[in-house]
Amino acid sequence: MRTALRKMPPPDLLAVVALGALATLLLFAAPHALALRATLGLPFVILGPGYALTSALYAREPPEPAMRVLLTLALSIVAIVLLGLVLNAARTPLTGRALVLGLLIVATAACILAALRRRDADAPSIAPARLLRSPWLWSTAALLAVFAGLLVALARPLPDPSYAGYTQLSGLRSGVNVRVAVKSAEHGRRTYRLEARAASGRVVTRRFTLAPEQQWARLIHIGAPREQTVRIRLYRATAPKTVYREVVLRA
Amino acid sequence: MSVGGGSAASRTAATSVRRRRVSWPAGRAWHAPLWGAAGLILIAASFALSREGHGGTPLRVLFWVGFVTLLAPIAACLMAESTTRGERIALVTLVGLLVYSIKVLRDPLMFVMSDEFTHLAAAQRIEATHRLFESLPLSGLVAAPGYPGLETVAATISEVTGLSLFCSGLIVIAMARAIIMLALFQLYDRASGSARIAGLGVLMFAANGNFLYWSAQFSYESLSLPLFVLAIALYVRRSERPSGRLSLTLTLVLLIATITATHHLTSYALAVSLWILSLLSLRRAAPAGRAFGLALLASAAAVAWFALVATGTGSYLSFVFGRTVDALRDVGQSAHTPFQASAGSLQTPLVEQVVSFAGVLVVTVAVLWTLKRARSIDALHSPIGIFLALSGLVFLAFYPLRLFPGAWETANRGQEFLFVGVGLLLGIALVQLLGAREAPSRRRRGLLLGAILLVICGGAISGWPSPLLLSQPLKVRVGHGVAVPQGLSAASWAIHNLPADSVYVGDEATGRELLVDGAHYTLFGNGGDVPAILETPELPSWQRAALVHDGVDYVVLDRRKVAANNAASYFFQPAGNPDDGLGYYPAGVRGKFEIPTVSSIFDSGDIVIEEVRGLREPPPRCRLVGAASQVGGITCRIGTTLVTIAGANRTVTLPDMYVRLLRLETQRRTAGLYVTVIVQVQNVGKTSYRPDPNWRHLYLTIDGHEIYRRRSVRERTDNFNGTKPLAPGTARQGSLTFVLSSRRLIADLLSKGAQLGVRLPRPLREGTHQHVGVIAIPPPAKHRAR
Repeated sequence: MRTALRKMPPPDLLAVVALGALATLLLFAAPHALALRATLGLPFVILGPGYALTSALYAREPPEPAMRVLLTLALSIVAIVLLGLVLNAARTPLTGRALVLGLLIVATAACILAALRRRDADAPSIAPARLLRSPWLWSTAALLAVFAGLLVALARPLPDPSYAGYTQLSGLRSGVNVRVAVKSAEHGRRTYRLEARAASGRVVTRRFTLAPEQQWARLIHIGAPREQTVRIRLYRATAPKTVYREVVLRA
Repeated sequence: MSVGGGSAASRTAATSVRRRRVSWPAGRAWHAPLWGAAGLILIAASFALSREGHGGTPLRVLFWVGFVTLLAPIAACLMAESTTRGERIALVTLVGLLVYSIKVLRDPLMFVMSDEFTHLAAAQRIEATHRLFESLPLSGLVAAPGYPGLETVAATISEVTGLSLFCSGLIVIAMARAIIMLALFQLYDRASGSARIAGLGVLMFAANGNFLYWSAQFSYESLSLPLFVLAIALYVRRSERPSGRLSLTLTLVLLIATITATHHLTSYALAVSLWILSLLSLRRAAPAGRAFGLALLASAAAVAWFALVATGTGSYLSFVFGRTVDALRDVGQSAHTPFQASAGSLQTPLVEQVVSFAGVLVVTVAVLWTLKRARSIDALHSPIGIFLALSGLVFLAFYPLRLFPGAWETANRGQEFLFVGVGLLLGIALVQLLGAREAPSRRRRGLLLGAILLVICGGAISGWPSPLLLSQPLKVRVGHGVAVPQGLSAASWAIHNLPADSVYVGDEATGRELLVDGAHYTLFGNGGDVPAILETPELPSWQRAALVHDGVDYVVLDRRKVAANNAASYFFQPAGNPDDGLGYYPAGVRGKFEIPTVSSIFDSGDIVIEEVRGLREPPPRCRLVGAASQVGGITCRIGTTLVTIAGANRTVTLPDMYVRLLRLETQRRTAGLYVTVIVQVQNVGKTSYRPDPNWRHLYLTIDGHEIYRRRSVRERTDNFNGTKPLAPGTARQGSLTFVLSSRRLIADLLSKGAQLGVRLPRPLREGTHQHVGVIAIPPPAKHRAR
């Protein structure tokens, strides 16, 4: 054990702790640096605790690479879930800071244990040169690039000339007046006529044109107390006698 | 046996592979990601075209070509003997992630699968309150808050990285997908001793109907099932070594705790599996396989969690399994055609149905064939082999349950767990058919490759409605703006314009959207009073009472029947088929809220929002209501009497009873003026009512005088007579004839008109209030002289 402690800490375990420390520091010092938080925080959260726990639990007989990846992913999830339960039981709010600090403590403790348990302090060997020569690396990189491109292309609204367009009319009382809004989700520009009619007989009309996704919102001075019903009807210029939309604010 | 190395048998197999050097498709496994990329491009093209409004068979063909392009090279490599163990592991992981990426590309903008909304809301709740186990602001049976494992992971990633919960959720499920593929490989490898069987078995796991979409959704089972498979795989490793297994035991303990906090059924399945495996080990004289302590721990954890933490789980599970029992009890009536997920116009094309049936047939035959040869297959003699073989057998027994709507969900979820056993059996069958000793002929390889693809495609078809395999338009670019479907727009409008503490009733789509948009409380789904409120054209007193009791402020009505479909209702429908072919609810569903004190405040064509908080408030005093407002219909009060005045439709809607004036006829006779009203009376309540023998609850009012009907008029056959009860949900049409003998009353009727009064029959009176209705009768234009 003394030998293990005297030695330089294993670089893989050191990397886990360093990554966790950086992610934690960033969350405390620069919470608005979202790109950095994602860059450092994501690998730490999904890999760090699991790698550390795997190293601690299987220090004497390191698993094969596939098993190590499997245990790393699974034990990261395990660490997060159980940490959440512990924090909740301890009535500690599950904030980002508490969670990342907790994960850092778990990962650091597991890394220390792993360093102590590793007899010959051999980190799992990764041969970068061999990895770089592997055609798998390049084909997988190409796949990831294609997937990222497709995701960017699809994760945005696309034009669709065939969808069922609509117009929405809303009306809410505001004292003796009404707040009316009309929003168009039609395919093209539409001209409308709006008619607000109070039970007292007072009628207010408005005419306007909306482009797709444009909204018209007004306070209409109708002078109707709550005891009076107010009907608001929307007509299209193309069918001026057919009620297109209607809201009724009843007494 | 070391944790690290592969099994001895697989190493032997790899050596023999190197010796014979089968050329097809040796050394080309690394091409698989490139084929995967090509497949994804084709699938993405089909998604983009589908979202741009194109449809029909060509798009589906494009999707399936992409799917096959993605899978076929991987299947071919896994079939080949020359593929190394490491490559097999990479290939099966690739299958899992590629198929998951199809789901991500299908829904890249937001979660749109029904359970995802609930779990997203639970994760949002954790982020908002920084606590676990907070109840969700929705009605109905929901177990998610009691099992916060998935949401804790997503919320942690989101809190630490700053990514949205949507992105974090996608990452968690991607991790889960990688875990299940790697864990299945480890399990099958240990169980069979062959990396080739393991690789093919994991590939065949992709043939379970939930693999493509259902298990890829942001839902607790999507995370717990991979952890379950890992736990079984670690148990098998542990059972191979009599000593030095503390690390594996500790890992299993951690996994048991995590699964218990993540998903109810998976925790029970794990406990049962550990008991079965321990008992099998006892019988097979395999002492290292006995894990009674772990089985006891898993059972105790599940029971304790059920009883002390997730106390609502019992109601939830009894609802799910109760439906299954009911469906099986009522076999004759509830049977329906397969492809249950498809409803109405969401029909699966015939070709795809044939593929799916063929896939089921191939799986059944292959499983039975393998089980028949079990005696000669060493892999099926160990406790884990027997356990997985039994799972395969039970899996087949679950198939008939898919034919019953109530049992479908149980069968669907159960079969996913049981497919862990089927995967191994199919892997063994494939390797046996490929031939262990000599390289298979090109024809046989082709046939088996075709069978693999058929089974996987068939599974994907059976698990999800075929039209929804493709991406649907959710956010559409129009000019410089972005249009969203009516449901999303209505939910967004409501959250931004209505009071924050509002309570909503909504359909499947809008209800869920309101939930994740931050509504204070939402009642939705297919349970309780919600379907009746949203789908029936009557508003009986029990519905009003339910709205008042639940403190509902707003009811979101969607006239399209597709709104009740929790898979299809989130998207834009095409202009040529705006109801998705499912039709509309009767106009009365919307019309029933055209009553006093209820306002319609939002109208987007298909969706209206009704403000019903007025139902909780007493109506205004009648003297405060202007005469003109009576045209639209109101309810007002005079003392303790509630007066409902009919609107222009001449229908008065009292609690549990609607009365509609159809026609008025007048006839002058020697006895006076005969005034006959033809009315329709409808019982919209839940109990029958018996009319007064003289039908005195309908009367004429002229200038303040109440006039009751003449008992009967001989020449009229439609007079209301007798006291035959009117059953709930039925209507009766008939006439009442009043005789006016006073000249003053006749003059008043002819000059000012009259009113038809409606008084509720005694059993329907509510509390201390007398409820009466009034239908205005204009002066008759003419009357016939005798």
